[in-house]
Amino acid sequence: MITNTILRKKTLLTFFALATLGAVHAKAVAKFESISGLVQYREKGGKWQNAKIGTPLTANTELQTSPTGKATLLFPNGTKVTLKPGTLAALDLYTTGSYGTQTNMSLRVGRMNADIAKVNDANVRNHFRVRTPTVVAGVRGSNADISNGTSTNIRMNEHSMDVMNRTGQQISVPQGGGTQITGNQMVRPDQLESRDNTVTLVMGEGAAPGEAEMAMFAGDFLFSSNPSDFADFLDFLGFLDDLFNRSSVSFEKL
Amino acid sequence: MSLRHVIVSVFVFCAIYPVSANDKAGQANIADEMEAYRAIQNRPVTTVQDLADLLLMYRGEYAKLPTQAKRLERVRELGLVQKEHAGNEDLDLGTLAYALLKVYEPEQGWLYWLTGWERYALRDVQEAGIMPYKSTPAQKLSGEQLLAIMTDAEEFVTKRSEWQKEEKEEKEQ
Repeated sequence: MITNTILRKKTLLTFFALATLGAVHAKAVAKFESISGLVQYREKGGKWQNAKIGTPLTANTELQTSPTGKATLLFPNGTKVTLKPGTLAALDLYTTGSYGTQTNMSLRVGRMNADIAKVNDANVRNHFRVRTPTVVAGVRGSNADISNGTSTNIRMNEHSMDVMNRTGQQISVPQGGGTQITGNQMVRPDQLESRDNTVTLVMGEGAAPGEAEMAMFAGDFLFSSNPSDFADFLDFLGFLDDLFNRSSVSFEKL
Repeated sequence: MSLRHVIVSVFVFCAIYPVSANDKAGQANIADEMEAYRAIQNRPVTTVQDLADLLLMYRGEYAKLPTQAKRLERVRELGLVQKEHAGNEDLDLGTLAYALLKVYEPEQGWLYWLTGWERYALRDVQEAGIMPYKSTPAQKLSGEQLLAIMTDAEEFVTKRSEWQKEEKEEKEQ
């Protein structure tokens, strides 16, 4: 009888221990692979703790790097997410299934790089989704840079990405392309590329060599690429013009 | 010990304690720097002292300077904040732009070069894409906004270094 009771107690204890261990293991969805500088994490609403290499992370964990801190998270599917200095992000979800894996993260402020593991199976995919205060971006490919400052900037280094802003407007960012989202405004990849590659010419082809030299000199010395300066300069010229060429008008008492 | 002594001691303790607590908060061990960083982030309106602290965090010097006064002095010494700032006044975009221009060195216009005024610093920083165009020098900003602008400034540095790298590679070819 006594032996039976002890046996029952032991079985129950073992069961509870295994269940607890299982729960802990089931919860850990990523770990810190590398850390430099100050990096902290906490379960949402919990107390901030210093991160260490290998620390297991569960879903619903907030992560913060200091202005000189950097951390790389490693997920079980091989995906790596690097949090750059001055970043506040959250690991919201990591699930696995017949579809592959689904990883959801939020980026409140700062910059991150997502290097998503490739899968050699047409039916399985590692889905990765990043949410910022203005955007939800679903990465279809393997490497993306995402930054959230005064606007959200996304750049696809490999493959493509679908981006949706808070009004539901959706665009696709191709490989090598980027997009910028400010509030409800989205800059398409082609617009962004054209803006980045736009050069304002100082002189036309028809300029004489002397004029060209003068223009280049003036461009280097007097002006920056700052167009507002040029506008100010024109205003200043207008002011000088007014000052020296003012036609005087006199009124005489009749 | 009389009751009067006890009351006086309590008053003296209350007067001294907040000062020593501040000193402790200023002393930077790992957790304290992150706490200070989060405190700046959660501030509804930031001060020039917050900017000084943040700039030193980016330089990795925050931990070496135990008090706010020393940190502000250091930032002034580096020329990142103009000398008329006392530290406790609200931070405006002009002051921030001036500091960012000194730290990240985007291209400077000749009007800033000529005057050194914050309004022209703001314009140059806007041209570099670090600050939004619709902003004025006197505009105040929250902690979240301050960190967002710092993120854009860091992004600017990354893009510039990539651009310079590409230029160098093109020249080598």
